[in-house]
Amino acid sequence: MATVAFRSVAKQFGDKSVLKGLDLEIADGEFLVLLGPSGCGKTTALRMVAGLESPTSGDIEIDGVAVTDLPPRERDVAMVFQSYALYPHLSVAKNIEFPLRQTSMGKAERAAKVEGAAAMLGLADLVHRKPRELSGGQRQRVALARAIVRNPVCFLMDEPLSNLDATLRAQTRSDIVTLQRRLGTTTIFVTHDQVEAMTMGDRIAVMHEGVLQQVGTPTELFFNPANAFVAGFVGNPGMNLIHADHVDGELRVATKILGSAPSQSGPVLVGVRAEDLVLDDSGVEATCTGVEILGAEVHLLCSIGEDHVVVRQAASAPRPQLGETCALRASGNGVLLFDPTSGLRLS
Amino acid sequence: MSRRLDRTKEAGLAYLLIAPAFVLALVFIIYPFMRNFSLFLYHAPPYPGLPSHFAGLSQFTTMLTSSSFLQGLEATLLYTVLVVPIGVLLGLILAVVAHQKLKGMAIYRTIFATTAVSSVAVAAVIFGTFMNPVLGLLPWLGINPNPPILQSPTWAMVAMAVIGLWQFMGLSFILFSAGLQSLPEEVLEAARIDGASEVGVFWKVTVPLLSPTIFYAITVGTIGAMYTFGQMDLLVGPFSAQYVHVNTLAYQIYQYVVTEPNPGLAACISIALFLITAVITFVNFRFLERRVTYAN
Repeated sequence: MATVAFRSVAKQFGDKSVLKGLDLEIADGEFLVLLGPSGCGKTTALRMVAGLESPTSGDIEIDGVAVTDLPPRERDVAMVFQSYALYPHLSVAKNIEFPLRQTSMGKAERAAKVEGAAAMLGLADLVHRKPRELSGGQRQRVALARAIVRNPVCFLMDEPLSNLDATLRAQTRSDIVTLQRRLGTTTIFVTHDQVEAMTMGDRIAVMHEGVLQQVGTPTELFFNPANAFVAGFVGNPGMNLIHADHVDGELRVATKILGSAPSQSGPVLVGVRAEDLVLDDSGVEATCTGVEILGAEVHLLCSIGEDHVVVRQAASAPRPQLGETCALRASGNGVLLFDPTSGLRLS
Repeated sequence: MSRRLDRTKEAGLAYLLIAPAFVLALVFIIYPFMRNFSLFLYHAPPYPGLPSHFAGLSQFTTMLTSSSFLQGLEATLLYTVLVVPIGVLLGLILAVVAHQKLKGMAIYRTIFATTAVSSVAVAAVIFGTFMNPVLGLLPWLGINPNPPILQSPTWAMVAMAVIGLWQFMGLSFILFSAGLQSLPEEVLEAARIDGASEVGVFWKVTVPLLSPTIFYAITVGTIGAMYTFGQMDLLVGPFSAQYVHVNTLAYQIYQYVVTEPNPGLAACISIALFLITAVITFVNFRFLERRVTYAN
């Protein structure tokens, strides 16, 4: 177990800057999720910790020691890939044993460790099979067993659940969290799925276009997003962002009132969660563009001018028909204000 | 009714489309193959128009016990053993070198691959020039073997194999280059993170993942080597070939068709060569393919 730190790490691929001065510290034993859309630089950051990419500038530290120039094999980290990256010519047991065979460990000790790791991941009956004879979920567990078997200082996981179906993904999600808690190994988990990030991470680092947007616990990110990008990306659905004018403590769209907020003036971007947006005849005019029935609740997809919003309500509540005009209002204390130009939080 | 008509039309079109390929196969593959068996059973006259008579298996049994056949078989197998394993290994090494992300590699790749597309005549001229006892590279370097290489029962076959190797290496290089480019990069990265050195990654991961390509290169190389006679004919010739032990079976077939016509014997040797190649290929599949790992 160890701490991991990015010190002003930047990465250029030709003219393209994929990581712009990343500063981030991951505590010993912490489960940190790097979250962001495709191309935000999260996988590049992870690969730099593994030693598969070199930073253009800056340093990577593991346990306070700069490892930037060390090859992958000297970093004592283990990685789980999206594609599982199992050795197709080796059996499950040999796959798990592979990292141990690169050390001076004796045969008996290796066998005991492989057996232990296989048992921990429920693979005891599959050890003689080849990867091609396994299902996606089983392959994923072999990849995890191969990562844990040598007790590395850090686990690096690059979207390891992306290739699994929805049910298996939910199950594996909780299995990974349980395993990490049990082993206490520092873990960096990369994903573009905010549900995974919210349910798994001790902290989440949200990235966008190579820049770290915010680091915090899932609750902090959900309730106190630092900017409009984090607000719109975290949560399911993300926070609604509506262009409005702030006049005398009221948030107006055209002539109608969306809600209220402490005194300020000028154009603002209003952030309202789907559950805080309600149908109210006195609210701003919206058009219903879609309805998603999720069982006990319903998501109404509406447009307010150019902005698209989601309204969450009970399935039993009255709702407008597709194409019908309705009125929406922000309720409760969940209204956040952002600068419409910079996207930074105002309130 | 109309559906049946449509289906008939569709089938007609399908036959029409495959007809050119079928005609070519019939003329150049199927007919010669069948004709071979008729030549094998009949004592054919050396020139068309003369009567032929049924000989049964007698030509074949005569051939099997002849010293020239056994010597030809030995030469063929020796040539194959000299060319294929070294050609596969050199092709793999060159492909790995050319796979490195270094400047100017495109030029090396082109140079390495060129030998595969050079004809045997070109190869024979190049190496024949090198080995010329008067004007060649070797005398220029002060090396004057006596007898000259191409007249030496010991070295002539090595010279033939070097030419074959030069050609096969290009093909082998192209195959391994394609194989290396299709390797799953993440598996190699996983091995590096798992603690393997670059040499370890090569032997423990790259080579096993290339096993389908290795198997293919060995199979294709073996079949190609078994049918070689170009450089023997161009550099040694039919009269010296037997004396310097480069009279491969394929070259004997050529001689019995062109130089001293004996179609029956040529057919017998070609059937024997076909059977030997088939057996070797079967053994390849039976014992080598077991060790091949296909990724999925």
